[in-house]
Amino acid sequence: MHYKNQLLIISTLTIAEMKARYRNTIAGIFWVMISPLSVFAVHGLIFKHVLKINVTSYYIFLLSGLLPWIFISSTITTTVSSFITMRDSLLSFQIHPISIIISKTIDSFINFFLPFLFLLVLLWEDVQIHPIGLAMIPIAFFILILGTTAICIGLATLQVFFRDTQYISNFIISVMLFLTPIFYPRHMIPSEYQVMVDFNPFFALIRMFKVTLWQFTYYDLYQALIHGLIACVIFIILSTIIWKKTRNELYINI
Amino acid sequence: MNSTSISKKILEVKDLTISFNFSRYQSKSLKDLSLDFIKSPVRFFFNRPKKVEILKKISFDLRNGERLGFLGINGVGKTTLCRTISGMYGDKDGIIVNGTTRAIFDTESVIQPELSGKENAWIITNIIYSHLSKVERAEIVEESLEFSELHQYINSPFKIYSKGMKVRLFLSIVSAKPCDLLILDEVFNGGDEFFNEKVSSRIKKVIEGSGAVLFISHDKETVRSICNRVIVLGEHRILFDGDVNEGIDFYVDKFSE
Repeated sequence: MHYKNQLLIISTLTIAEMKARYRNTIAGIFWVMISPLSVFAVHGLIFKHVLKINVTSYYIFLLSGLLPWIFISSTITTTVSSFITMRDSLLSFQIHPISIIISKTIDSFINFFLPFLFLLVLLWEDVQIHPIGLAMIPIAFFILILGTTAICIGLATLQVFFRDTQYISNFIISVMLFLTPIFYPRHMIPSEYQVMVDFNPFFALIRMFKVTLWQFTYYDLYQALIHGLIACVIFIILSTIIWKKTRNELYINI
Repeated sequence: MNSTSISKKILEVKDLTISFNFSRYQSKSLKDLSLDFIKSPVRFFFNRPKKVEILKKISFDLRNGERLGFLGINGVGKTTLCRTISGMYGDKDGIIVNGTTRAIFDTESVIQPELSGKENAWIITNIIYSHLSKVERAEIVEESLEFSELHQYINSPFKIYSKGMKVRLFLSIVSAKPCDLLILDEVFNGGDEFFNEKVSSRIKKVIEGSGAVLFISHDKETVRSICNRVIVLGEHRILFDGDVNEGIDFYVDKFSE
């Protein structure tokens, strides 16, 4: 199928997903903002004001870690079972299964981008963004979307064959929230445990935002982009292997 | 499209074998996998997954103007073959399609039950007719909603539609335009008899307008009225390929034994 036709199908599924989610809700589309903003506010309140964590420009620090994390975790949670929940559609039409994952990821990205932008504008006075850092944000977004899409394709495919995948991924997400320096800075982790962060693929995708928004240096930016790209390529390779190995049996197992 | 050249080859299937790994992928839970491991660790790691061949070395051509009906008992691989031809299982060696393919395997599928009938009509139209312009797709939606006679329900949520209402809307959209290769799997089921009669003549028109058609139905009379060629599948291969009436007789004789 021509790529333009695929784009139309993806955009149709994305819009349908967005419309359906907030149909029959009182707050409607405002949930896009309410949910991540309240999570952000609660984290900010607890760590900045109750636990009094000593981090400069904490809200910017939190924005650069928590919002990308919410995007990654919510996208995984909503897509992991999508081949199974969309079973009827997949078996009825010529929809490429990956179109479903891409459309859900785009929907999730819009849900992440709007509150991200809102908070960035709100906290603009606290931000001392380096112009190069600002210019790198679209690249960070691109790597984040690509990496997350690859993770979701791999997990959604595995879920078709191993129904434990969603429970395992939910468990990993819960654990990684605490193991990833999202609401605490990396330097708070003892040196003997730093290796956990070095090999944390989620942090590789998030770190780019920390560098561009919070503490910019050219060296850190270079490192963050390289790590982000490496993580992204590994996710793409793994999901491609899983997809190619299982594609033939996907339809008979969903 | 159909009358320009009877000899134009729309579909070529050559030595197509369709097989699946059933033993490796059986939606196993961690518990099942652990039990398999405890029972026989050697087999767990070294047992090669068993491939089950559904169809072996299938070869046939489909030319412009041909309406090919597939007959065969349940589980013989009719739908699997059509899904493979439509590209659902990914690219396969041995299949060449010259032109656009439209494949419909279910007539009551729902994309977004929370959205209205009209919104779902748009979604289905965008998926099926993604190669057409927005104006053409808008015409299909409007015309199909009119044809389906669901006037007062088009803005109601799709989740409240009965099976018959879903079929009405779906078939109205599917039968709106012809294409080069049309694949229809049991599409005449589900609607009420009055609408079925109405939509049948519309589907027959689309079939006539399309380049070539692959048609699956267990209803022999429907196959007789629509198709001009029949393939009977069985024992993992093509048992018969030829005239409709002879094919139906062959099918009845073979499987009524």
